[in-house]
Amino acid sequence: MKPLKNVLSFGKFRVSYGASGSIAADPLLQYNSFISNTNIGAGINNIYANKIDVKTYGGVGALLADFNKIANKSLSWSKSKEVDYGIDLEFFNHRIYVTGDIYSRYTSGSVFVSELPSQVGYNSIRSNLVDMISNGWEFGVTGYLFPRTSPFQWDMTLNFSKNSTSIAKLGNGGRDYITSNYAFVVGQPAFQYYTYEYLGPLQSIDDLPVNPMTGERMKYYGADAGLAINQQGKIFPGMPMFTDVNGDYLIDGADYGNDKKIIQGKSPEPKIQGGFQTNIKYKNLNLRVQSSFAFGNYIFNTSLQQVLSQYDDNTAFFTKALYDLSGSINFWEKPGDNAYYPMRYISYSDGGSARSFRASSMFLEKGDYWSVDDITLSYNIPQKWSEHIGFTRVNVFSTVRNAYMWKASNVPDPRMVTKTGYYNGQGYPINRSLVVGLNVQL
Amino acid sequence: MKKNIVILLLVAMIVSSCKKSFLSPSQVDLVYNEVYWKTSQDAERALIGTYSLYRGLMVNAQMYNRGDVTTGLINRGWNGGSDPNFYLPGDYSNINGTRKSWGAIESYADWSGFYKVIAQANLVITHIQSMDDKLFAKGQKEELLGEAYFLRALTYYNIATIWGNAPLMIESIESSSQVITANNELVNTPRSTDIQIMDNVLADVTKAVNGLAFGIPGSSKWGIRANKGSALALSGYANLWMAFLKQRDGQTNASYITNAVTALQDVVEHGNYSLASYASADLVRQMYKGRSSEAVFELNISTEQNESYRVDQGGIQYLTCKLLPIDGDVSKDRASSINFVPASKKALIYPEYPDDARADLFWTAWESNYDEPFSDVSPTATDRNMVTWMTKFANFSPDPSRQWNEYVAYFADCNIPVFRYTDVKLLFAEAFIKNNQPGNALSIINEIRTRAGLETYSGSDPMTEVLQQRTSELIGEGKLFFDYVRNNYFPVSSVMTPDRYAQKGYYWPVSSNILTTNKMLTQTPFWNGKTVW
Repeated sequence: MKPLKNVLSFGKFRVSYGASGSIAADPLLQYNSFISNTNIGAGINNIYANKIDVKTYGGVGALLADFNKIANKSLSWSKSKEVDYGIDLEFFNHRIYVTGDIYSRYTSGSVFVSELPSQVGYNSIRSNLVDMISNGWEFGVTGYLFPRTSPFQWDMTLNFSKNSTSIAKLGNGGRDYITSNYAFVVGQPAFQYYTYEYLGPLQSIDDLPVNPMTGERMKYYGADAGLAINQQGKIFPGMPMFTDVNGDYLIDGADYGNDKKIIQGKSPEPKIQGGFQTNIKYKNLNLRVQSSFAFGNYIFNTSLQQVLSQYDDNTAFFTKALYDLSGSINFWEKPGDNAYYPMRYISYSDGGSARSFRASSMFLEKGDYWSVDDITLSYNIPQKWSEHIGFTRVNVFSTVRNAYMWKASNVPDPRMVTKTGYYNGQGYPINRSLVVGLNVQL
Repeated sequence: MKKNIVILLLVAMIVSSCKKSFLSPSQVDLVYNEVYWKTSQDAERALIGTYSLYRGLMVNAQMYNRGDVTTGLINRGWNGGSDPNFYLPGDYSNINGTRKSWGAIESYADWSGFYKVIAQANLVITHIQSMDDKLFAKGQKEELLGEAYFLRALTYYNIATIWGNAPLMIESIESSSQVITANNELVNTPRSTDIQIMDNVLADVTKAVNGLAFGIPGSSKWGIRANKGSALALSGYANLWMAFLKQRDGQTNASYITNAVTALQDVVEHGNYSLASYASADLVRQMYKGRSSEAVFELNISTEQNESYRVDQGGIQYLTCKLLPIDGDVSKDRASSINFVPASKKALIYPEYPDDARADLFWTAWESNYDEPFSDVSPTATDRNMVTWMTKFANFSPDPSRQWNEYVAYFADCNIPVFRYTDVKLLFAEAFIKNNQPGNALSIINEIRTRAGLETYSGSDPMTEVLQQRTSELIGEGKLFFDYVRNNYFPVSSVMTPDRYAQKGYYWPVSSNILTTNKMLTQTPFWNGKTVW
């Protein structure tokens, strides 16, 4: 045992099991409630434009069922059960620490909304609809390069983790649960993009498949593009191609939802993520660097999509300021251009266009990043000096936050994405700051 | 001294409110089934909610588009008006054909709004029934229930005449277990047949007739709340529609026609209604404003009661009224944005013009001989003052808080007609003819004709004359298309080819949203493959 003890100074093996629950946000879901809705009865589409708030009929106040909520008395908590196997090890007299975890979590009955058939009158119901299973592991190692008693200390910590969540069970007979931008399918990863699959700009008319039924080339469905020259829906070189999912030789010309699909292999979940931090200390001087990273995920560049979508809307194009994208975005301009983005095509009259810059996989970008989040240099003024001026302890420090970031995507900050992968930074990245400070203890 | 009293009052108020809110908090801002339905006012407010929902459904010219624009008698303006697909015959020659008739108007193929009224009515019926009789004044419970049955019957009558086969929901939804199983499976309901739905309408109508009393002209509920007269009128309609369905399916229908005659006779004799005078345009305007002696059932729209809408945002006025701009500058009117009657269709509406007074009472510029819509940029020279537009619903008042650049900012001020007495009388004539009593029909026809300034009827086809009078009288009131279907009579024959009629193409398709959320439901057969969705 002696040689082993020289190497391994501490070891622990952990097994844990836990169950937890989370309650749905609205405690009133068990009641069928009544509302005196605003503008019932005479509200023409836009109640703000309509300018009269109708709450009566023939002068008598009205109450009606709140069709957005149906009493679900059987709604219960969503429960999760988790098994975790972990190991903690220390080597070489507390010089190297290793911790590892592997876990599996089964969450049953997550509350999601499903649409009700219209004859019911009520719009939708919240129910314990989705079961998910999350598997993952975490691994961390910390090393001290010098003996723990030395005046010079240098330690490093590296963490890795990976989590993948997939759908174990769905309500309504396992029917796919599809929303406007994500889709749950039993057995598939939980978070995947559900959108149009962008194939690049059309290079030549000859590249368009021909519908064997009609002899017509593939065109856009329901788009006004080409209407002015009596070629409604015709796809010209430079216009975007999307996968024709339903095989009708018509590419959805706007956001009608006909040709959306789950984009395979571009998950918003990172293949690996983690952090790296290090401390260097010599006597009173201390340098700390913290960084984080994620690799292998795809994020949706919402901000670019919003900027470019102005080209799809002639009102916006002529009335709003357009961003200077020269240099950063490579648009198709003439046949032969090896451009990723399609041509800018301004619609002409009723606002119709090819809707080139609708939300689609065009805006999926690699979410890889490595960011140096925090660098702090601090110095403890020797006690004899500080006592000389009447303080117990004086510490001078300087911190740089968000010092540096390497990223594969064009979003200002790839960390600011929702669970489903959509960038939500709304234009304001976390700012870089330099703080210089003085800590004084009396 | 005065000051002290005020302070004392304030202190008293604070003390009393403290007592209530701090020591025994109770959930007060949520009203739900378990705590509602305690007084007759609760019952009435929920019933009023049903009226509101129905009005909300009808307010945006729903029945005008379905019942009038579909007849082909009306064209769309250059810059606006109703969707031309309402009256265009379907062209289904290739999959990309842009003309799909109703198959291109998905929002009108969606019945969700109708089923919201049904859901509310079901709730009201179930809960009022189970309330203690002692909570109500004498006869009040029966009356409130009768109104609820009337509204449910009316809504199902609409559903059955628009879509034919449709799900029949008559239970109130009290909890999720009625719509979703323990396995999270949605509970679906297939389409019942049009005859099953109409059977249910007739059952509800009978309950309404029994529970309701005839109205009192001039009372606060006159016209805008259902009474026995409204229910009997609906009974007439439902029975005649049922007679049509039975005849179509080769079954006997005599009993339904007799029932229609009986019901309509009752409303004519005891309903306290009388035909309004057509002596001046003003009197006609007053009648359409609402609650007149002809108001069998209308939906209340009143600026005074704060129950109105801006006509430049929607409603029937948005589709039919030229609207004189508030600043008097006629070049800013809506002459190019409204539906109009082209000259070529005018003889179908008033064949005896200029003798027929109604052409000028219900319309402006009936004499106009333009077949084309007015437009400032039209290649055909037209005149903005010669747009033939309907004045029936041109009752409105300026919005006092309008913006400076809103030139046609008016609030609507006329009720939405559902049944009016002229309509009931002509239906009575139709029932008489179908019941082999054409003599009785003739006197009604002549009453209507005389009021319009016409000679008495001398022809030999009273049925066609009744339908002609219905067209002349009721155009714009959401009735005609259904009259034409019931009698297989289409003045503009292109809107309904015999083939389409035989395949029940007078029923609407259902929207994609309905088809995808209810797996047990199938598309209206005629429209399979003929819709854009």
